[in-house]
Amino acid sequence: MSGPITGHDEFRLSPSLQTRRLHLRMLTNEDHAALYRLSSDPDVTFQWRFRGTTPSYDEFLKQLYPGVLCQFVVSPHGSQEVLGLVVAYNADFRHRFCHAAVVMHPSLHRRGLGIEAFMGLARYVYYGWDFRMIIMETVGIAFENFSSGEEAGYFTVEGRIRDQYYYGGRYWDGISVTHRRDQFEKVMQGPVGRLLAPGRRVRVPPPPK
Amino acid sequence: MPTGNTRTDVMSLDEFKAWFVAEIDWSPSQISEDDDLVEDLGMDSVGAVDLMAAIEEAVGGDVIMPIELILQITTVRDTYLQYCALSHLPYEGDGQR
Repeated sequence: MSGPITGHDEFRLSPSLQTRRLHLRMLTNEDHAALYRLSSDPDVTFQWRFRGTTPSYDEFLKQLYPGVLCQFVVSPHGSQEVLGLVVAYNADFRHRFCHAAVVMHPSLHRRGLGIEAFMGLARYVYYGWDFRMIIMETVGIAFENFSSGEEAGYFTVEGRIRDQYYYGGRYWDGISVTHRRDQFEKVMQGPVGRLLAPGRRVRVPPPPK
Repeated sequence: MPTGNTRTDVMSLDEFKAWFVAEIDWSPSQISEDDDLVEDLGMDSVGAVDLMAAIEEAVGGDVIMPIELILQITTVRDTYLQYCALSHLPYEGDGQR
């Protein structure tokens, strides 16, 4: 596997919202419709906050902001396209932690881009707040998309409620995962560190018509 | 190991498969170019990060693998083809490579 990334130490903790392929940007009114569509995508809705229900557009908008510490639309460099959303929420300033969630377009699942977006959010959160950890609540069916990260030391599974959620004809575990500040620092020494490092972009020709 | 802004010579498909097995931690010891990375080799998002980082390092030149190429990858053969593309596409801002 790739060796340690060197020469990019200054990007380890920084308020930058740029990652290698993505930029995290402020959520604007123009993004609401795309996020509403994403929230109702059959491959997303059961794992996101609405859990398969179909709120009205107005109700969806009302629930976008309460409890949020910071949230960013995920877009490719040089584009405003909505690839997903990263959210830090339910911050506890006394005990120094917050929760986080990542939702990405289904076509991007298992491509590593959700991890890239999360690492961009984690860098921003750890830069701006003295939090000890970021907590993620996930469902077994989604956890399968990144479960090997536990062995790699990217995060720690802290708890599991067996058969908590019903989807697709079976029950799935509810899983609590922590990503601690020291884990962030450690994983930045490996291939994940490259996700936040700048590099040289290539020009990709448009697909043939 | 490639350094600086120079991209390395492109591997053949057989060389690439040998490189894949040697460099990618989650790879089994035997792979076929038709293997689906997710379905057959068990790649998850973390594995995808490892793979993209390794390909970028193999190509050299501090190159970024663009999202457009990542989305073309399903099998080992696809991975090889996008590795080849990444090795040859011009840098942004360059008139020609």
